[in-house]
Amino acid sequence: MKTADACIYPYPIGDVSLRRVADELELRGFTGAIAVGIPAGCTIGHVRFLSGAEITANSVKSCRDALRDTSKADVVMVHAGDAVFNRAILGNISFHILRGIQHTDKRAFDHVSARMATDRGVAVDIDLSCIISSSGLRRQRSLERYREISRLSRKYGFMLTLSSGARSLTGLRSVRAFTLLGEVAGLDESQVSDALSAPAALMSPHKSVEVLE
Amino acid sequence: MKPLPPTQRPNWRYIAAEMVPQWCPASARDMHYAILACEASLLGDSMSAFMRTSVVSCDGGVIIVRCIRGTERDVETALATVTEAGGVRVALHPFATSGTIHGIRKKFRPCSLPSDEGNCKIGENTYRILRISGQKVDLVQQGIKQTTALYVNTDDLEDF
Repeated sequence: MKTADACIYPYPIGDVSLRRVADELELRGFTGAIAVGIPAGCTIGHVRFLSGAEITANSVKSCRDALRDTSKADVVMVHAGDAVFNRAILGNISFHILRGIQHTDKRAFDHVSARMATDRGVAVDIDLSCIISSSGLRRQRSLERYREISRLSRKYGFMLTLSSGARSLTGLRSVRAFTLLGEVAGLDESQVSDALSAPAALMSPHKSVEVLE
Repeated sequence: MKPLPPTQRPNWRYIAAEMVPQWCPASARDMHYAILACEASLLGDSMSAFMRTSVVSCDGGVIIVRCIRGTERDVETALATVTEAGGVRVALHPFATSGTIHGIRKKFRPCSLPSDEGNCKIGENTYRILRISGQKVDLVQQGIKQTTALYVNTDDLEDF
């Protein structure tokens, strides 16, 4: 999975079947994707799908409860909240991707959270659907947040993922469009290529060396 | 009026983009307004005016967009943010850039237009089958208020 879309919603959540998504992704230059709502990971054609689970919670306890139901999912994504919640889940819960950072306030993801994300191998998602489909103040706020996240990523080295959040065929974008929109969001070329390959890296994290006696 | 000599004419570039879905009924005028709105929204009126984008043609599921040379990257970024044209949801995927319309037409991929193949019933909904080239099948439900689409493959159609 050299290039992967970090979040798509195939049928029945969206209106595109998984096989059709595979065709379209292959045509647009992708080799993988994280699909929310599919029972298990699979490979169709040359496209590898990882099953994803999304958790939206207000507290660490409810997040942990929801995590028990997602044991079959390959990738667990948790929606970000305020600074206290983000630090709590980054410190206590094992998950892969922090989503929806653009909906939170400015201080929700700071240098402390960034350092924790780097240590725990958690990626922060940049949802391009906010740039694509929104406009005006909402898009400006999203871009502002994404630029801040990309700056923190450059400094602290946590992973980024890029997602289209597509629920329909019209929501899918090509790798080229991901690169261009990623640059609008403040990512440089190397960050974009790292973000596109991040879902594969999440599956095989680099763990620190353990000394066994 | 005497035409401008070639050296004084603007250097145009032509970008071909695939429309998804191919059966999108939006006209060139709708596309033009949609693209200009996206450009102005993303890059600002000043940059939008500098790019001088216009839609040259829009048929067969492919549009050709004209812009000033050097602004292709910005135009492609703006095309990636197009989500609707003429009240219909659409996506544009640029696939070729050239300095002449003749040159860009050489890069067109041959694609067959969708053919109408009756109806199918999924649950309580009846969809019209539009078969696209290869294994792609678009199911379209024409409602009073809106058109609902379901995008599947021939294999999925057998499963349903």
